Amino acid sequence: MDQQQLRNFEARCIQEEQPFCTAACPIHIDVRPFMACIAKGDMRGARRVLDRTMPFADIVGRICDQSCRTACKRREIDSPLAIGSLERYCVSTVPAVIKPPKLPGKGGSVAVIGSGLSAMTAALDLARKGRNSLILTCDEAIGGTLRTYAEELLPAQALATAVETLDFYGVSIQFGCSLTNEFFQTIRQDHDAVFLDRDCADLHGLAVDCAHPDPFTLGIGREGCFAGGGCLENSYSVIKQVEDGRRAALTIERYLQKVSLTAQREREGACPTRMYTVTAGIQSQQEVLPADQQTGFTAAEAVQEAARCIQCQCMECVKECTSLQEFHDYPKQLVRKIYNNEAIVQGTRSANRMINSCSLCGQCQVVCPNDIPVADVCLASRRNMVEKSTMPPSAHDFPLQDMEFSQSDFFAMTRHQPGSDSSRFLFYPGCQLAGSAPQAVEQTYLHLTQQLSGGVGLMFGCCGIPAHWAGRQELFAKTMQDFLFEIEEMGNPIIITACSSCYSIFKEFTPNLSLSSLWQILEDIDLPEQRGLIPQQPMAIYDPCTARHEPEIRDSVRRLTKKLGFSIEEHPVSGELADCCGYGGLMQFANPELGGKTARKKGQRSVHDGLAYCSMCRDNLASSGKRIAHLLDYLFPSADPEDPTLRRNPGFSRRHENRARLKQRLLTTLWHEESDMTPEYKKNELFITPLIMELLNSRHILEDDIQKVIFQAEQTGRRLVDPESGHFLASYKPVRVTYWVEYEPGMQGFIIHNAYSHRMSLPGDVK
Amino acid sequence: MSNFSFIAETDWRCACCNKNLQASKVNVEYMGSVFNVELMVCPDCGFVLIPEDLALGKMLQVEQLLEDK
Amino acid sequence: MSLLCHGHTASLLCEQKELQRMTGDTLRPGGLELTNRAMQFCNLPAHSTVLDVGCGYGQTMALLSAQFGLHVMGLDPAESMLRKTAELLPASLIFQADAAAIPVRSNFFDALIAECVLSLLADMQASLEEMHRVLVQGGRLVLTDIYARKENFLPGVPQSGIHSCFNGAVSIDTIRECLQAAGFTILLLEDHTRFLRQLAGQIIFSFGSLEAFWQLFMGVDKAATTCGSIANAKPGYYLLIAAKE
Repeated sequence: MDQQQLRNFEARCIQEEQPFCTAACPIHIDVRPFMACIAKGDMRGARRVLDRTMPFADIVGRICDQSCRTACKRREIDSPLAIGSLERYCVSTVPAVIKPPKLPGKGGSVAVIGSGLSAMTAALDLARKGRNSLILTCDEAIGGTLRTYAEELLPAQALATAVETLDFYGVSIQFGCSLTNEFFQTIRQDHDAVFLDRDCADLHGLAVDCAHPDPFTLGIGREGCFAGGGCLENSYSVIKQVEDGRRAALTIERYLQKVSLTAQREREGACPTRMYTVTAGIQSQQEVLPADQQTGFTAAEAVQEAARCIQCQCMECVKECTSLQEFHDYPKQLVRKIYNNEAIVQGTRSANRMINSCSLCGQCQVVCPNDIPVADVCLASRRNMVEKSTMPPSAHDFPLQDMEFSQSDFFAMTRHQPGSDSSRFLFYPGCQLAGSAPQAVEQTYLHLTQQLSGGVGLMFGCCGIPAHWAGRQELFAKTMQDFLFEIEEMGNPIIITACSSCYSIFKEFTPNLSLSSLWQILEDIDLPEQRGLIPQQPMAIYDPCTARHEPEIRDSVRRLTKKLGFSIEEHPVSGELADCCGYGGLMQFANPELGGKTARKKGQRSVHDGLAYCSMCRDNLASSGKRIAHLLDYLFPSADPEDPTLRRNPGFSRRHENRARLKQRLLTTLWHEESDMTPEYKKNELFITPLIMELLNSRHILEDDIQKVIFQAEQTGRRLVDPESGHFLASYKPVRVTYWVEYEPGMQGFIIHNAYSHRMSLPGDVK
Repeated sequence: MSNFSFIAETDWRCACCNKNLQASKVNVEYMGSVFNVELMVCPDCGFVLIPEDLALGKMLQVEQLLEDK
Repeated sequence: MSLLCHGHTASLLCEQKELQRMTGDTLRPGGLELTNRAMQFCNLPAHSTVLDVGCGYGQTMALLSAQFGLHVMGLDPAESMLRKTAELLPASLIFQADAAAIPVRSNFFDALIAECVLSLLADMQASLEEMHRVLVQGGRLVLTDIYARKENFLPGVPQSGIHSCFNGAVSIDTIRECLQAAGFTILLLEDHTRFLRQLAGQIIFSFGSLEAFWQLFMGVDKAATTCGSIANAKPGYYLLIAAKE
């Protein structure tokens, strides 16, 4: 990722945009934390928020005309927050908490003519920036129009506090000035800049046109002179006075620093925001009105009203994604972390775990108002890590070994239909379905050969998606190349995939091949005669994340379930919004806990039993405790009468075994080829209790690994023994991981008592 | 000084040499870093016992420390 | 008194024998491997005059003198350490002084080396300016130290009875700014967090856990807090070589 791409991605994430109220406020009061503080009864905290941005909060907080209120998102639900009344409550009950710092004096003197709120604000802001500022007014007290407010609305004490504040920051005030042209000339000559507050009756006598200041800089076409504030069209807006005073102070500061008066000021004053907040589903709650209009809110009423604030933010993607939640990230932070991670030439890359925990499922991009491709960013970063050899070795070792197994002779094979030497179709069930439900694969294949003419070939293998997800581009490219070669050898048949992951891979990387999903094919041919019992109760379809962009496949599945007589209840997070089951992006290997959490979340999307058409979804959700079946379980039921929603996840070892046995069985029964692929070390019979099997699965230890340990130990005699129990303990390191197995020789084989592994090397490791 | 040790009486004996295991300093290695650990080892053939709690505990902790996983 | 970590109220981590046991006498992650790397990069002519700021027991001084033929002097505020240093290097000039007040004239040394020292200094900026003063024009400053990898990390959060470089770890950006302000140009900056991790790994194997290690110096609760603070700062280790402009 280069800096340009980073900026581009960052700009597309709008989570850090201002909320609607703050954007609409000309001085951008941070309304969200203000409301959050009041809602939890922290009135001092609320006052602190105001003190940070609001000049003369004792005045403005009481009488602000709250242009923010119309922008409040809550109006879409019921009624906007009473922001003004809450500010009034806050400043009436809590005195100032913080005084913003005064910067050291840096010269430059500014005369402020008039003493209305914009004059006060300009003088205060400039004094805080370290400029000498002087208020010159014909009045005998400051405030201008403010002085006409009723005591109940704006107590005289608030103005007295303002005078103290101005004094604290070193603003001097000259009362009773007579604003003649001559006086103005002298003032202009004695100061570097002048601001004229139009909330001052005597300005009319001056030969200076203050009526039409530039809206951006408040310049009035005279060197160093600026004007603002006052009544506009006979209406006096408090916040407009503050805005003009603040804008004038910023202009004058730029003027004194001799920099551009206009550059990068778009965010000053009320401005648009790209914030995106979904209000659907938020409970309606009527506005809290003070019981006594005269005295305003009580503390309890203020807390209750402020609690209505929905704290507008986007977080659309984070709301759904376990991975973004886990790392407390929204995409803007995520891309920054990834960028920083890549920039580290040598050293700790703390974002590795986060990058490898993404399921690459693309759900976030669908819900994002700006389509930020988080999955693409994470995948690109994984490729980058692989290229630079910074990928943690343990992240994807296990699934890549699984892939290697599926591509080895133990499973991989390609054949024309028995008795045929050409194929119009080629059934590609995929490695996981073959591992999970081998008998369904076999029956599906037989059914296809009976129903389709022109020859249906069969191909076992792995589509390479683990390598793709792991960022292993070379390995993946080789897989694709080999696959293309095989397909060409077969005479370019129409490929029928059962797994939507395989489908997505072939569609993206071998676009010239003819491709169809099993579900589209099954929809058009006769249903098998021997079908399973279709449940009466409703079931929820669980779309896999890899069918997100395949509406035709999803529709085929639904039509097929209808044809079969299912009663389907859709849940809202399906279709193109579907969650990942934890397998996507190899999440469950890089971050097993998160994988489990992700599967549970997906399972909980519906209270009904699930119906999946991806075997990884089926197995992972089953592991998470969800009652869920695979659609093929009903089309091609097994001889075992067990309820298919209760079928257990076979686990990693059993999947290997299932694939290898399926291949051998089909070669024998359909193609009459004799083969015994069993290597020497696999010939020992193992006895493993379900409890130990579960342990092995959770520790990613295969029966195959155990066979190797025992074979090696028995061959060399290198092992430990516990004389008491007669158990042996041996270790072996086939590649990178050292496996330890505690076992006991039995009558027909070996009883397995425990197994564990580590990656650290010992002296004299047996390889 | 530390009173921590991985050394613990063990019932495992070396089946090959028919010897009890003894405490010994062993260098273990991962991703280019070498650590010196005291472990139970067969005095004759040098077979090193990595008990389950070490493999899944401290050793895993250090592996992950080094891996940035 | 900046290098000395307020000795009457707190003790210095690197003076603890537990740490010596693991790092040899170099008292820092990476040991002499990083020193070698730095010296190869600097490629100083033989007999160049070099000051080891915070020389500890003199392991680096011995290496620089024996392997690279340099004329080495040492400086450390800790008297107890210097006694052992003097035994190891009887012919070397060793100052008991503070890095913010180096007792030599300006433009004197060809190179300074400060290994795992900067973060211990009470006033890093003043000390860097002092180092700048005693270096010749174009002279080299070699720094290895802990830094806080977490962005926007504010130092000084962990408050424990023991003073270690973790207390003063700041971000690389801060170090960069301080160096520039003192008049240095950075020639090389490398991350060597691996060494820190190796040390952490060895601590786990030797003491059972990082917490158990800190418990040797402080109470159980404080050890837990210290571990948390250190984890929060995400400490890294760097090698930096700068030149006096």
